[in-house]
Amino acid sequence: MQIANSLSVLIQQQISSHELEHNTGSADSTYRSSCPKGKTNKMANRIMALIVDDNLLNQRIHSTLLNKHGIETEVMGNGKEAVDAHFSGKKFDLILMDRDMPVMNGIQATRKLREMGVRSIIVGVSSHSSEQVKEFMEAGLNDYQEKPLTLTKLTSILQRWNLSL
Amino acid sequence: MLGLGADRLRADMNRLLAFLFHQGVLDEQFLQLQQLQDESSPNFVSEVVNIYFHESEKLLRNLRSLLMDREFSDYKKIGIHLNQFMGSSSSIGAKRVRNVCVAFRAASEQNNRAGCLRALELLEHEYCFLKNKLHELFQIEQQRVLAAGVRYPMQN
Repeated sequence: MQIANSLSVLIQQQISSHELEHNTGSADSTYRSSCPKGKTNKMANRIMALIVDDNLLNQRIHSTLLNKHGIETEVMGNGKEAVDAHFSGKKFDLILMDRDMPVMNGIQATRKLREMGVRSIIVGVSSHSSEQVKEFMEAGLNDYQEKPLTLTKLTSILQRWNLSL
Repeated sequence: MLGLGADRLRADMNRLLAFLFHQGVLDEQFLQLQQLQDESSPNFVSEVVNIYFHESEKLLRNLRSLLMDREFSDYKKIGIHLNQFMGSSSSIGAKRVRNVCVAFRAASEQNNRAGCLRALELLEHEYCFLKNKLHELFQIEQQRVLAAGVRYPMQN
């Protein structure tokens, strides 16, 4: 579906397609530089992201947002699945963690992952306002963004944590 | 001349979108979805909106079922469903639906059953309006694509 330029320009000031193409950030992220040898992803220049969210809509939207930045994604429906995946040896550069999920919520999952020694960049994503996320941050998040995620918010996350390709 | 049909339909789409933005039915998050649609995911917006419809109708059924129960007292569950509905609505830019959810949640936090029932009626109404308008939008888009795809026969 093509949106008329006149309409999208009116509201588009915050959205820059330039952000999609503009690669910033050094080759090594804080995470990668602190990562033990031999424990990075198979292809050094491939960024893998895990989306942990029980909402199908957000899974789809966040996957597409990340794919637009050339980032491969995997999706899990609750915190326990994310923890089990890490137990089985999976590794990710970036984890987008929803807060409210069944079985194991984002706070519990983040805490567990940090206890396991997971040093991925974990970004909490939730509809709660900043004032209500203290517990979530203290569980071990690197960053937090209020939903809905936008291209602009995601770009700022990737730039802040040197995750741009 | 046939190309004018596609242009006219594009104008119809823009008019409908402008109306929906002006009325606060949609917000800029809907444009974000449009930005994500391209050759690699040409039906992204309609796929996402269909997921939203499916999830929303399930939530509306759950909300109605809870409130219609004579023994109902589980306002916490109402709150959980509403949070999900609010989150989904925000994600696709369904601003008016989201705002009704906020009012609904306020009634549930006060354990106000009558208020919740009124809010549910309004929510169902707003959701139906949104769904009809988005269907209309997608229909116009389909017609526009078909019209734009018509070619004059080759002249030898």
